[in-house]
Amino acid sequence: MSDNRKRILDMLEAGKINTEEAMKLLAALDDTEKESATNKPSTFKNFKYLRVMVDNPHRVGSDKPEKVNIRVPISLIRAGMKFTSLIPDDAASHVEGVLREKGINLNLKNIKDEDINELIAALREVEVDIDGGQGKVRICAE
Amino acid sequence: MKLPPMLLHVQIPIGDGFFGIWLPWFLVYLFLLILTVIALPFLIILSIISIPFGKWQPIIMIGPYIWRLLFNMKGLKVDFQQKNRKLMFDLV
Repeated sequence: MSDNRKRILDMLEAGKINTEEAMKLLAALDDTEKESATNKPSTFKNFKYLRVMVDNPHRVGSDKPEKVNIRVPISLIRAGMKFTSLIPDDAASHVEGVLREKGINLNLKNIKDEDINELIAALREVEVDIDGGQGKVRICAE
Repeated sequence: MKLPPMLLHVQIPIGDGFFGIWLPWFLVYLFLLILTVIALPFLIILSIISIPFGKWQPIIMIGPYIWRLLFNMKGLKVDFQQKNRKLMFDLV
């Protein structure tokens, strides 16, 4: 419950305003909240790709690649997530159980676009050093 | 309108360098379309048979989901580099 709502209810409880006035104030608050929600710019619309870059200069001379650059369209991730609904119920519940044991609470059969957006927003600027600082892995949405 | 990827740019390591080639990815759609048309009657029969088991939806939806995946692959790029050698796949 928002602070404003609580304040209105407190005022009603204290007898500073009557029920009719409280109703009017709550209705006005609803309108304001709806307006601000529709005007809020979407922070996820600008993301087009998820990029994974691996830079490992210490692999020079070895058979393994020194640089890896992978660019995955966000729309492809979304389309791929739809495949989770095709996972058989038994397999999905087994995977969910294993994930829950690891502390990840995920409903595989019911992943929504908002969940994917949140995940991508969290990856907006993540930088991780691997191999004790010898190499670098960078994951970001762009 | 969002267009699906039409070309596949591939760079394959050869010797100390690499060899690049543009492949007509749109031909994959033609091949898949033919395959879909052939498979469709079988999928419909299979889904009708599986109605009592409640498994008809995944059988029917697998086709549209694969097409959706293919149409959203534009911009996918995988690039491995080692000195002058390069292995790259880029869907344009």
